Amino acid sequence: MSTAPEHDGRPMPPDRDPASSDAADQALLDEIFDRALAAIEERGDVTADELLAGIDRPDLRDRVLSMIDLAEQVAIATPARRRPSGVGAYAILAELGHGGMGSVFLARRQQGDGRYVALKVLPPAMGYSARTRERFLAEANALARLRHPHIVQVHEVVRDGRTLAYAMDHIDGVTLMGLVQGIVRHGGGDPDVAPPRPTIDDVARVLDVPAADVQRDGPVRTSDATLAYVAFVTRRVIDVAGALELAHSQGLLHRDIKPANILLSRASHAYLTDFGLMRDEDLDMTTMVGSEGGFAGTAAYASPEQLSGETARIGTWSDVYSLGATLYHTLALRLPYAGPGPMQILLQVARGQRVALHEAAPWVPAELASVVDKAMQLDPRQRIATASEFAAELRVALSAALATRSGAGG
Amino acid sequence: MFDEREIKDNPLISDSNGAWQELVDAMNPASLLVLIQSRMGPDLLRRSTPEDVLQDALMNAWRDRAKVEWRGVRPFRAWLLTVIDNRLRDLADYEHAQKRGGGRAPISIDAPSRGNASSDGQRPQWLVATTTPSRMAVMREQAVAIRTALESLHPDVRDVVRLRVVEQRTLEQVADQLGMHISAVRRRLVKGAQEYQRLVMKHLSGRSIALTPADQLTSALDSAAEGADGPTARRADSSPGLGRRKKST
Repeated sequence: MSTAPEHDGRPMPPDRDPASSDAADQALLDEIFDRALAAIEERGDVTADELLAGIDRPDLRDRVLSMIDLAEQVAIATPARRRPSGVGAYAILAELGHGGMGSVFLARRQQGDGRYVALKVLPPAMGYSARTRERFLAEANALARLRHPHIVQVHEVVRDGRTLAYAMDHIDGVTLMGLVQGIVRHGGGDPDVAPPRPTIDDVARVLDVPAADVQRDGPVRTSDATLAYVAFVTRRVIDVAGALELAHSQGLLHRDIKPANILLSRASHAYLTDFGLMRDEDLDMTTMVGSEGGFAGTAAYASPEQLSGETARIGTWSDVYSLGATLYHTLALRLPYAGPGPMQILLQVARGQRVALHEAAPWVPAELASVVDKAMQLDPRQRIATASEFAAELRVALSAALATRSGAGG
Repeated sequence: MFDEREIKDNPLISDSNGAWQELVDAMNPASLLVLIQSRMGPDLLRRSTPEDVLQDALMNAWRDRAKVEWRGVRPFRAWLLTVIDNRLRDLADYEHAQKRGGGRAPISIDAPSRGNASSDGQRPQWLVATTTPSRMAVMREQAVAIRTALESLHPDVRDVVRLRVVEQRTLEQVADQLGMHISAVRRRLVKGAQEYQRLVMKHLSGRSIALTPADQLTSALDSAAEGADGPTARRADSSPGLGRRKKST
């Protein structure tokens, strides 16, 4: 009794000639590969069921899955469009944000305490790179080492197949960028020409909490709602400067401080996040700065020495510059530079041609504007050198401003 | 305002950073950098970088997105490539004019424009996310891996992979451009993709690359072509590897 020939370990259908069917199968798989690639290019994923629809060949399933795998890797598949349903023990609930090194999701641990976390996920397409994986893990390790009330805590690193992630505290709130956008959106007008005058009530509205809750961490005895906003934002930046000081004391530079990387909880607590570039010693900044616009939006917060690629001149003062620019933007609701595009911004940063804070935002007390100006000096030697000095000067200036304008200290 | 479903169906109607960011990701920006660099002459590369050109093109695309009919990611990417080509032509014209001692600087496509702002009055914040240092580092690294892999591919499959995977042309367009039968293109695409994937991943994982001997790849192509091409396969190229193909009997 003859036995059916084997194909990939499975019996071949009896009416097939092995030689011709091999060629036919190969041709079919070639066609399927192109369809898989096209689907991944268009929408980021595809299933074996789709590709085998109308083709009565369940025996080809494993080879089709291999083709999908190949197509994903060849396409360096689009990470953002492929939202995972879960990573390791965590169920993905919603996307919180999307950044340079993947996405951050609200997730819930399905084992143990069932806690909610912010899960930062490095998608498989990015994880193909050993350097990117190392960078991602370095960020998780740096965060885990830094125990500070204004730095989010990392709980664990998760590996799930080719996907790498780490779980950290979920902060219910907005970024400072979200705060600025929320105020501008509500206030209307063109922020480059006439930004709205912010008030403490705007913070309450954006955070969706009562105004009294916004101020509870430190009384601002002033009836001036805009001054209360200035005090609120300045105190948050002072808190972040404390977190930055801890990082600096451990020899770590953040190098990417900007409003989008500072979280503000509904309890008015600020957190420094996104340490993706911290201690990234192998990352040559000169390779990342285009001759004109390659650095774009971040250029508005990056120090001149970072943008010019003078890595030897980058230090704690570079982070101070970025935190100063962040405070500027959050107080004035506009960037420190008036250029219409990244090229102009780069040139202005390089020349130190920013719009003076007191001109951009007349509601900012001169004492505070002066400190921000010192933090953003073009020449690092003339700049406030450390985060602790910056925090100390901000405290003094804020107290003086509040005492002068409201007759009470902050 | 548009709901989430509508934005998913047409990301061009959204002002959200996330929707635009997803679209940029979907277009595989690293391979766009490779394409841009391949289209820039040495003079242009001295004055500008592929990242600058891509950034400019993305800003232009953002500004003009309302004028584009949404037909999917691939058509949008094809449109973006025409924007890139126009920008490269402007830069090249300027370069030539400079050499002749004149010429006005090409107006940057990110020149002041009311349309350059999103509906909340802010400058488009996707710029921040698209070009953060970490993001740019990943894109650059992937671009180098893609370029290195393409250069290392056997000539018999390199053009097929470049046209289909990097330029994202259709198989029919590739077949037409290379003067090949579509089944032959399909076969070479799979073979080339396997080799390309190996080279890209090896590069990204930082290990040294042991190239598949050219003869071995050619032999694999030849034997596969026996079954796939058939006697009707058209061959316009005259690469030495394929020249050794046995005649089918």
